[in-house]
Amino acid sequence: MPSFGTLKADTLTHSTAGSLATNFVVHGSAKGFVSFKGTSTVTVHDSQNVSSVTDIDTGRYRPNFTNSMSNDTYSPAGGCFDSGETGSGGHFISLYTDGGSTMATGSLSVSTREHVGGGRNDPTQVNITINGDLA
Amino acid sequence: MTVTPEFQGTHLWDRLCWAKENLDGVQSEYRVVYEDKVDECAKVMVPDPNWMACALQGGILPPVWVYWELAKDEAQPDFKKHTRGYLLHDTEPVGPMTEEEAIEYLIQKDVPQSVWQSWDEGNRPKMVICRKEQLPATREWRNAWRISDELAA
Repeated sequence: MPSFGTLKADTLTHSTAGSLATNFVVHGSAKGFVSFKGTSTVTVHDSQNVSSVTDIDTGRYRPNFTNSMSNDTYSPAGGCFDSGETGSGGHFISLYTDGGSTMATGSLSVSTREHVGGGRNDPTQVNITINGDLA
Repeated sequence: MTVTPEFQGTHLWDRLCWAKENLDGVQSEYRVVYEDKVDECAKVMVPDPNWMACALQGGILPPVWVYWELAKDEAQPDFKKHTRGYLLHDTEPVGPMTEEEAIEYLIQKDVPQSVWQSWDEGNRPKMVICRKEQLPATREWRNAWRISDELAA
């Protein structure tokens, strides 16, 4: 049976490298990530704090969170990997407006676009990280 | 067999971390296809394997009504941030689910209520639960996918 001990500390101090306030750790840690295949039938490879990924249409996806974020001003970041399967020569991730709101506390709408031309397309792999405060 | 610790009152994030360390992900073969806007193509909801492991294990996830309550708060015009996040952490977690029950839970969490509350009303179904292999193998014309009219028969 695992234990859940609580260590309360406001500062972490290294023997030589200096000190760090623990609120840097709490507020600076990622609050979720997801890695999924965007081509063919979408499949989630790995994740934390994600309940599902909605495939909205070509180059549009919506990860849904298990532990909602506290507000809709969190900071997502991401990137795409393209094996060349789609022949588009690389993608980038952008947020897109879905029903008037780009970001909700329980989900995030993203689109993947080609570097050349900017059209939406499906990359081989999509990676997204979420930073911010949890509800 | 892995035993879930007593988690009521434990932050949901901590429970998810425990699950990540102790449970193997479960890739569901189920997919939920739905249409929520007449001028948009069908959307496909894909269950997350780590979430599915939590659902099958039991004692980790909050009841789905907690998410409905948070959604109500967020829909308020003056919403700034959640003040009832404690519902996620303090509400008694749900017990183990079958994969089918987990899909039902996920529909009620991640599919718009306007779809799942009236999925079979109207001339054709707005939502279908299918297996992965029943979806088109390629994404050709992905932005024009619709639920087949044949399903209404």
